[in-house]
Amino acid sequence: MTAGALAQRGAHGFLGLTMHAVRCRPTPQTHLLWILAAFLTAFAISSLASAAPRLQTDISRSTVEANEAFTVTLTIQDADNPRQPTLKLPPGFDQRGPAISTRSQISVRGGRITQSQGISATWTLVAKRPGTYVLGPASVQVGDRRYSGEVLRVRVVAAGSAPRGRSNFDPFGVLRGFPGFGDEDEPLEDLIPPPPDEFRMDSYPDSVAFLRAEVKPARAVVGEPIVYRVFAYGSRGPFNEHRATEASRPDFLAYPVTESSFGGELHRVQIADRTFHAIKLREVILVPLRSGDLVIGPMSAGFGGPAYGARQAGGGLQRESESITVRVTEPPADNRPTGYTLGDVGTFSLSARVEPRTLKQGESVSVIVRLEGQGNLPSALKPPQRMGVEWLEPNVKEQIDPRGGSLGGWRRFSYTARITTTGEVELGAFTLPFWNPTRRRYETIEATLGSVRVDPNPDLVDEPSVGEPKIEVAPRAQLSPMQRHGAPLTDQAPFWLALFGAPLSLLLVRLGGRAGARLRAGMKRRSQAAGTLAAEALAKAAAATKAGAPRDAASEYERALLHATEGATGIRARGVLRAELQSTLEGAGVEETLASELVQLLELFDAVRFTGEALPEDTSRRVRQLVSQLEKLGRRSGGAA
Amino acid sequence: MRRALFALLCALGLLLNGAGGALAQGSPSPAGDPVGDTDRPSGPADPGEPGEPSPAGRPGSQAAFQRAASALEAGAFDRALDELEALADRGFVHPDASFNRGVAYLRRAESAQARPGDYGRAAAAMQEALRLQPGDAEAARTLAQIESQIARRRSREGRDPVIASPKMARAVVSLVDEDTWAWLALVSSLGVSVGLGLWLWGRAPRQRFTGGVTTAVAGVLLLTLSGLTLQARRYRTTSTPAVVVVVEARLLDELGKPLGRGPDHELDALPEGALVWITERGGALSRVEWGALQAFVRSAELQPLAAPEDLSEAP
Repeated sequence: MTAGALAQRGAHGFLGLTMHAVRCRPTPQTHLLWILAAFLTAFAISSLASAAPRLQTDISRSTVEANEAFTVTLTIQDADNPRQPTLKLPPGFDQRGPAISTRSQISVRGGRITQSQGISATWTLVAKRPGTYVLGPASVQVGDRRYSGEVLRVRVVAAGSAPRGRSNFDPFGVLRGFPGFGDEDEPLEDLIPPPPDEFRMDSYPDSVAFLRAEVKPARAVVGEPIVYRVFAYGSRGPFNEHRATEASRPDFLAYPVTESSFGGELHRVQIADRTFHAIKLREVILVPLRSGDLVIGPMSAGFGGPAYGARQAGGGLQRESESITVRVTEPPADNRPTGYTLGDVGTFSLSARVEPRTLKQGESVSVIVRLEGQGNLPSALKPPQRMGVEWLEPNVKEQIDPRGGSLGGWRRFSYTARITTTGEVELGAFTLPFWNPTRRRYETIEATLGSVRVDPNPDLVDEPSVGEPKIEVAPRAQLSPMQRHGAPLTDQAPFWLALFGAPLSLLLVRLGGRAGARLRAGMKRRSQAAGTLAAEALAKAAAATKAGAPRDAASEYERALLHATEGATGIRARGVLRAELQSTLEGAGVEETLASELVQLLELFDAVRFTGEALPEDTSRRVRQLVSQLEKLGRRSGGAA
Repeated sequence: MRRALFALLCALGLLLNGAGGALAQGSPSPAGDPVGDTDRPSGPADPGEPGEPSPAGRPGSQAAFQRAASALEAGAFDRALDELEALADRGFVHPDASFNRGVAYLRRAESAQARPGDYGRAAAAMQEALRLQPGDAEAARTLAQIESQIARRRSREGRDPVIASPKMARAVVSLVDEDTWAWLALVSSLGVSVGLGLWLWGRAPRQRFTGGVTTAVAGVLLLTLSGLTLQARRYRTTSTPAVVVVVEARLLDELGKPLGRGPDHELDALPEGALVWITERGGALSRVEWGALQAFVRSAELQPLAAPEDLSEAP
């Protein structure tokens, strides 16, 4: 059969079926006919519709601030050479544009591929005053006919009071303008929830942007969970987090609650005189591992968004939170229960299950202990120890999550205990002492295991000992009396005094005695020497007088007096001005009359040596008397200084 | 003779001056924080507060000790350890408590619940008992057995045998305790005094000769013994004995980096149970002296020993 014959046969069949449908009840052929008719009708309508151009008018924002730019766009498709787009505006609007771009669209219609041309005309508008305005309609000339779009409404509010928001699903704002992603007709104020109390502040440290970190509570005990939060505030409108550096916290175990601000709620917070957009960047449950002043380092994060300079090289504003010091102490030592492990803090409950309750010697029971509660759940429990019960290391399963600003969950410890003795064996109880931070006291919980019945096992063979030989040593039952040791001898000053003081004091006594004796002997020698010299001078003076040599006699008398004076007072009178001699002698303890007589005689001898006149007759007596008085004086005063 | 006397006088004066200085401010360690008496492991409690009763005087210490002893007898060594460690945390220091703590760790080390370092902790407790009561023969014997056990285990695990070469000065000073050195120095001081008396005030030549000889001999002894006394005091005030309580304490430098074996260090780790001297503490690391070896190890790997001065009177 050729193709032409097939076509002819088909056409005949089609006509035959049509006639049959008119006259008879519906058959499959009738259905096919109706479908074909509907298709042809739709094709005709579609062809008619495509003859009219399609217009669409859009506005970038339905609520704008005064003096804020926004756009109106008129799009026309399926139009042949559209031209002269215009937009009617009420007074009080500045207009720029339109900016015209051509649009080309390829579509498949009715099994045909069609291409339509169109344009988009965009006007940039700025409203001067607040109010609600009607814009448009925008219109365009196609051929000899002018087509108009829809009328638009825009609300203009005062500068700084327009709502700004960010879609929860569009943190970067790249979908802005699309339905459901902000900046469209819905009132954005309603999208921004009122700020929770944790966002509120009394003052702002930076008028543009800042990070705030807080920890609650600021004082804790080792093992007590605390909450660490970081918030970001920006006053230039919405922003997003980028280039964040986490805070260092080496002394804490961390359980993150909020690991990123993406998807977080943005809030508007009034702080003093400014409105900030704020978002929670992080929330972490921290468990301090030790006591002391533990430091949580600063977190830094960038503020992404055009208003924060994010388009510049290097990104937007970068801010850093403050470091926080947490004072962590140990729970009190007083009343600390035996077996308490540092870090066991919270409120817990304990339950246990033992299976089976009857077994043979050498077999094992399964003990499952479940620990649950809020806080820092202990990671290990201490099994009760009994003779004949050997505990193996447990398998641990857990589910611990941050709950309501703390930690919570459960741990299940699956033990195997091998019983090596027989009879009714009491397994004891698991006990867990912990510190309850709410009640601020120690508590102890217990899970009693009960007893198991262990039957003798004749097949059990004692295992040979393969370990080290046991060291036999018995514990001591009583404390022996002990006396507290005093401080070591070398910490006591009397020890060092005794060690070196005794020999030193002996030496000092001996050396001091010798030095004193030597001093006294020297003084005595010096005194005796002066007396001898004075006596010799007196003898020579007497001889000179007898020989008729008054100058020589005067000189010798003078020498006798000077020796006697030096011996008695230590003063070398020859070196003292004659005018000052009397006062000097009196200052050394010589009586005034004695000093005066001495000075008179010395002046007499000076005169005789100069003139050569004879000495008075009583000169010898006066000099001897004076020398004698000076020697007495010297003996009284213990000699010269 | 007079010159010799003068020299002796000057030397004694210098010694006295040095001792006074040391007494006033203690002998500083060459670097870092010295480990002094204030660093004694007397526990975190407040037993040392003035005006408070001693820990032993507090009700409960004796009872806690007896509870621990009963638990040990019953084989509940973990409960005994809880009691004894809590006692130590409260500042209770007694050789019998240390001894029983050693026994409890030893029991656990020999059980299926043994934990790494149990033998080291047992050795530390026995060392402490001996330090608090030097004549305790039972503690000395048990300590020797524990050390043998540790050596056997090391040998079985294929670890190198470790031999510590003691530092000469510390070995000499450690021959007797500090107070014994002090008493010997006092006796020599008495000898010097008697000799000087005879020498300086003796009438007969024989007396003066005897005095001179006595002074010379006793003077040399006095100088030597005073030096040893001062050194013993310096060791006490600048270092604290401690025992390694892990299987091996890795030797580190001051930055915490592991030290490899080299000409200066034949070892790269201290063995469990080794008695070392902490000479400096800096946070997580402690500088220790072990024989002639000096290095840092992690502080948590050491158990410092209580001193006899911390001893609590038995109730």
